[in-house]
Amino acid sequence: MQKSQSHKWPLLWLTVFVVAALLLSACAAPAAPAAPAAGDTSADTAAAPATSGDAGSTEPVRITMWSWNGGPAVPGSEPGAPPRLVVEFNQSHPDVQVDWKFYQYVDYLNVLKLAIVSGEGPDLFGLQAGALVKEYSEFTEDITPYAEKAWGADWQDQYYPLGFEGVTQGDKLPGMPLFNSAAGYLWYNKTILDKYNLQPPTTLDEWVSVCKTLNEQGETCFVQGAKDAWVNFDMLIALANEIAPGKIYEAEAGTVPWTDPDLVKAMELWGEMFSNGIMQNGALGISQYPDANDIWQKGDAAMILFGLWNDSVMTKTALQDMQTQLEVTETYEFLPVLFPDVNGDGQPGRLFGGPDVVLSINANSQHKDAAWEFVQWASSQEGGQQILADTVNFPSLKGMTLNDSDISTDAQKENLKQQLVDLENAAGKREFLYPELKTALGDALQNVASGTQTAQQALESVEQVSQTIQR
Amino acid sequence: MATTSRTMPAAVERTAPRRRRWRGWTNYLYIVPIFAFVGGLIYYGIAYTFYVSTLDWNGMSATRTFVGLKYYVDILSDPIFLQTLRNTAVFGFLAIFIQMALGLTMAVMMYAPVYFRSVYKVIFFVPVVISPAVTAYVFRRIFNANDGELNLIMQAVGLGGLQQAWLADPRIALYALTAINIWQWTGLSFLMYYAGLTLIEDSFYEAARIDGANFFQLLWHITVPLVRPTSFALLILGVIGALKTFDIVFLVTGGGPGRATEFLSTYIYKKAIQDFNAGYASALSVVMLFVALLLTVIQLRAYREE
Repeated sequence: MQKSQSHKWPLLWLTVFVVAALLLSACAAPAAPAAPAAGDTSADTAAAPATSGDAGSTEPVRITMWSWNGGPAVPGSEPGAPPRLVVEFNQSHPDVQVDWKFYQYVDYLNVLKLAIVSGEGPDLFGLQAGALVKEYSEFTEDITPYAEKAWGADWQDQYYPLGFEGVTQGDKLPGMPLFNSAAGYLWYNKTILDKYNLQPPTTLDEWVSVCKTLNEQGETCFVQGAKDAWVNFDMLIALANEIAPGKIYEAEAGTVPWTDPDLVKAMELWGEMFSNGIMQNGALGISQYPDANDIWQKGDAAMILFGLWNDSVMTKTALQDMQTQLEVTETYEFLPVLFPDVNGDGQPGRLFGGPDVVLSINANSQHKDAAWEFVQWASSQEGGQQILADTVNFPSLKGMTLNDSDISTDAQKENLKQQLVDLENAAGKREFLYPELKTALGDALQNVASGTQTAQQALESVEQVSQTIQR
Repeated sequence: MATTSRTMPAAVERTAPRRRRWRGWTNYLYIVPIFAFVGGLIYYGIAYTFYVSTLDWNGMSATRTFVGLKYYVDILSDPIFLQTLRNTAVFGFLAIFIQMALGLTMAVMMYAPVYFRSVYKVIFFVPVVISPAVTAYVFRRIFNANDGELNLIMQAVGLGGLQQAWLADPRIALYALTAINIWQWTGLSFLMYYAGLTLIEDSFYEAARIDGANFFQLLWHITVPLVRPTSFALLILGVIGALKTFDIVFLVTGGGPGRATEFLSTYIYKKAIQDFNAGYASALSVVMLFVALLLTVIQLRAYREE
């Protein structure tokens, strides 16, 4: 009896230990990290050398970088592999090595949030302009002091203003625009239109007419993955900027109600697209990527609403990839035109956009200087910006010339030059700032498209949400 | 000898009450780990979720504003919340009862002498173990309005007039999702009913047959009552499953068109991740917990009364 009692003591202590450990681990559960002080450049952000460890150590500083998009891929690389910017930086900077991690956008939203909240986020991370930058701003370093030190006080003049749309938060610049992008192009398959002696539409009426002809021939005229809110926003902004330029941004800012007649008109036109033959049957059931994009690239639809980011389809390399990956047998010629004239002023629509990826430095990073070294290199003419220009991505830095050697046809090469002009003439931004407004607007667009709400009713719902936003 | 054995040494006498006291404590200590585990991981999580539901917070920022029970009041008048409850009720009712009916039918068929019975059983159960991501991809293709297999088959058999935009029409999309769920989970109902059937004595059927009962009378008066515990287990699993439904909805329709296929779980996700509204999402989670508890209590009470 006594022996069995003595055997219980280790068990008892083990029990106490487990309980204590469990309680302590529970106490250590989620807590938001303290927001860093603005402009805090402590830790290794002082003029410390980029190399780490003991003096004389040749070990490079390793920094982590996460994003859903890191710019152009290395030709022939697997999806998710380090992009060209990372590969070439690592080759040219032995003292700093970037460990790249790719996530699909939906996964990225979850992973980044958890990592940042737990204080274990990457040194560098990509953000989308607008709502994402706004929410993550307090967890990022202000880029301005770094940039001023590196490039002087007037450094922003060297970059397209469009690149800072939806990025600057008051006096703070939470990230650096890596490259620019704009929506508002109606991309068309010239091969299909030529087959039926059609021209790309320049007005809304022409668009309906072209679609009528194509639909009668059994072709799908236009494809949109209207299951995705972002592409529906693109269409609404394009329509609204044609009817009343800039008014949609005023509504976002709360200075104009969403029920303004011009915005209601834009929403009505959006709804009509689902009955006048422009939108394909079942548009609300498919995504823009990969569904609608695949349909368009395979030549199963003649038109799609995209932007500058789609320029790669004009390259010989992309056409070859399409032929192998999508089993496309024809060599299509894809071209963009500005959004058709809606208000009857004889002028086509204008692009609207901003930075495609904003590169931010984690405020809790232990390697801020090394992270800045990458950002600086990626933003410079000698580094990343030249790579972007060489791969038909629109640099955030002014004065770069796009390399059109891989572009397939002369018409496409001409168009590429025009795109730079169109980008300079952009009408405004593409990304909305308030998440709850985006959700409400996304619902409104789908409800109007499916006929469950009128344009007026849908925008009244948006206005109700808009009024609750603390701007 | 007997007397000696009853006499304890002085030191033992002194420590005996202390041991008895410890013996009582140790009994409790043995169950402390499980209490700490459940309390630390589950109840702490629930308590923390409730705490967050009283905050105006984006889920990340150091800035949090206490708003009390504001979000609970807001939920009561939130049309999207009410829509999610309607969608869950329709989806759950249809999916649970159709799965049970099909599962029982398949189990009864497989219980009869059938060639290749094992092969059929595997085929029936395979959808249960297929990843929802794969299921979603396949059914998005099948239900595609333009070149989806379902519409193509309908066209081929002369039912072209019944073709639909299955996932794009808000009046139909919820039923399309329900069909996918039924396809995926009927195999589980089949398996559980099949196991239930093995517990029924053959003598019941033999006696009934002697009394002249036909197949349907055997099914209705013997099989159905005797697999009632299985039916009840499937009912509880189905109700909880309907409340938790997320993956298929998220991957197939994303809750749309509009909010036509929004479920409580997808709504919570959107509020927390897309809208950066951790407070409201937490309030919705607490409400979801209470709905699940309420439904479970009702079902348990009904079962016990029966």
